[in-house]
Amino acid sequence: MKLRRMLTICGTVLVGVSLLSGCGKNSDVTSKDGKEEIRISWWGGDSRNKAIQEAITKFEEQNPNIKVKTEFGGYGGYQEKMTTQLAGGTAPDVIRLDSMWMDQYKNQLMDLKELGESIGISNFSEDVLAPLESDGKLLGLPLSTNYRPLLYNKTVTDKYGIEAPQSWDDVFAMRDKLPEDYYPMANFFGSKYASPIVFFSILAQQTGLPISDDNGNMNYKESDFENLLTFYRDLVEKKIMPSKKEVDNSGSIEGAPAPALMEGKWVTFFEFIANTNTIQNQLKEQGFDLEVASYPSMKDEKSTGVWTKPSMVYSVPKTTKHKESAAKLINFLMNNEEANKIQKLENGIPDSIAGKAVLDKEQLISPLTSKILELGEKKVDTNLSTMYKWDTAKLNDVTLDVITKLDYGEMDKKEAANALYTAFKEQEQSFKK
Amino acid sequence: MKRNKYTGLFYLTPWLIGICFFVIYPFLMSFYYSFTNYSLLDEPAFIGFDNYIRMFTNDPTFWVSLKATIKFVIFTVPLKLIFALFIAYIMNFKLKGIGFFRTAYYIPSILGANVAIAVLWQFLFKSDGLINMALNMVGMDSIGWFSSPNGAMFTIVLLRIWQFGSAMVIFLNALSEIPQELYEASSIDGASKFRQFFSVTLPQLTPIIFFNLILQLVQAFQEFDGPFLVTGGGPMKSTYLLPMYIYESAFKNFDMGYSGALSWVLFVMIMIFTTILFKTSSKWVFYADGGK
Repeated sequence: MKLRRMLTICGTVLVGVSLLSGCGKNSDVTSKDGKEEIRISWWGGDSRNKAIQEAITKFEEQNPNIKVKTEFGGYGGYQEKMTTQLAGGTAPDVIRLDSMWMDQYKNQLMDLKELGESIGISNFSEDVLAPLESDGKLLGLPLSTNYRPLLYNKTVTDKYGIEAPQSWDDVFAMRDKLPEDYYPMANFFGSKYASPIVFFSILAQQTGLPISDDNGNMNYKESDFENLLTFYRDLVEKKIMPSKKEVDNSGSIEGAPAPALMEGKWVTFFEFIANTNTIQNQLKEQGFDLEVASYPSMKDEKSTGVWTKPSMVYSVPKTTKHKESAAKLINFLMNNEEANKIQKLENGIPDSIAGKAVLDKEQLISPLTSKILELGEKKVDTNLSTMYKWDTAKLNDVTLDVITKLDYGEMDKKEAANALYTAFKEQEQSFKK
Repeated sequence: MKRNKYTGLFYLTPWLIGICFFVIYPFLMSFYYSFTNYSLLDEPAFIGFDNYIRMFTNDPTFWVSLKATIKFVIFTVPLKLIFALFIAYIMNFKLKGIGFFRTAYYIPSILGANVAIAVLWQFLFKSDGLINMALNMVGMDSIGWFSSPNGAMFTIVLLRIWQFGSAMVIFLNALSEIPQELYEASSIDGASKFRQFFSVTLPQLTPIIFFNLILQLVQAFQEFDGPFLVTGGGPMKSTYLLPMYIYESAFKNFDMGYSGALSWVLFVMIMIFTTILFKTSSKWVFYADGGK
């Protein structure tokens, strides 16, 4: 009897409150002074956050009837937040997403082609939009194109008389010139997080093929993974890079650069263009100069292994009630002259033609960044353009697991190759669904 | 009489709303979702016991995670209780400046496990960290704390034992409640301090030990922050405790259904353990008033 009454009360309260919240949903969000209020969210470090906020202030000055509410934080946990908001229908009107999440959210995002010129679509070439289309719908506008060149600590290489490494052989040769507690290269994997994207490049260099063909079938065989791991283990065994075990003990903290990197003891490393400015500044504080080397070539390589991916995109969720204002804001942030002058390279080198032109004209692209861009354009292998789709959470996990077991001696190369192959096969199946 | 009852309920409304929305509703929904393939972004479809079958027959990670969780609980709970009792026993002596120490020992418990603690732990246990430096100084070899399964487990167990404050405070209070005449009587009978501890203090404390045991057991089974922030569940999933697996299933792999099933298995496990403790308590818990 008691229980029943308790449940009745609970039920009544639930219904009552859901009615109340239902009312809230139906009314339009306008701020007190009658302005239309829209929300935007992104992730980034301090300097990016400041730049975007400044650009938004400019936008509000020019559009006095729109008020923009900003939501931002670090990358850690950002996707979880977006997923929850998109699933719950409470996502902001303009959201910044990672391009590799597009497929997951395709039912929650609106087709930006519907917004046409109000969002400034003509500022983007077919090439940069193609990877963001799904079933003919455009799910996001790309902020910049990313790839991971090999960067090196020029202060250290100069000290030990080392030329900028052009090939993997050059990297191997660095071993003899460096002190024993230095490593020519940082490991591709962090202590808690592993993205296999450098592996993708090595696989491409070794086989000349992208992961999957046009029909979504995987190109790599189990033996290809074994060759890849042979190459990786060679790097570790010859002390070209620290093993995963050493990385785990190096005192790295998620979101902060590895201590050994900041001490100059890991001399070269792969890093995305969008992050080079930050790392360059961090190293400068320690008295080190950062330079870019070419993507290391492999003897008898069948591909350069260089592939690009759209880095971040702006999307609009289907649930928004402010399509036009959202489009206006995106258009402003990506294509407006003032906005680009404020944001500079905070989002990478703009994919927007107008945005790039502003930075070129104002000479806001740093020498290091232009050099990275130039090298990328020279070396990019367009056959590999769909590689980035395989940088999934699941494959990241499996790679972390396999590499750890391999470096800890819990698995041999054959078992590790089999584990990777199996995981990639499973991923292939899930893509086909 | 009747009116009074409803007034009470009225005052309880905020709490009722809270518990309905944030406890009962999610609790029931997670049970429902555990029988679906809900991915958060698509509509859930009913798949019967598939999630549970997959867990027990076709998911090595579950067993690894379960083993790690039980290991964590077995090490953390007794060690923390013994340590908390030991410190509380010392804190109960009437020494000069004891108030300061009582506060100081409680501080780690306030800190919880956050990013600052993760940084501190990395600083202590990394290859050239403070602990290894100390080991080297006394002529011992460095230990790869984060690169061995047992070492990593040790770091997160230690984190929780270090935060023994709340258990200590409860013990401290109970210690001061033990009637002095029991000690006086036993010392007249010639009992040593050591004998007094085991024959007077411990039996008198059993209800509180029991209470702390249940509390710590439930908390330990739900441990998330430590492995999430300090070890990331590694190396090789050796510290990948079930709550972390539940979180990652839901929010990293978007497998809400499976995550729900995992939570319910954890829930049932905690139930079984606490039930066993309650059932056996009559054998070892001593109530001065006969348990009334």
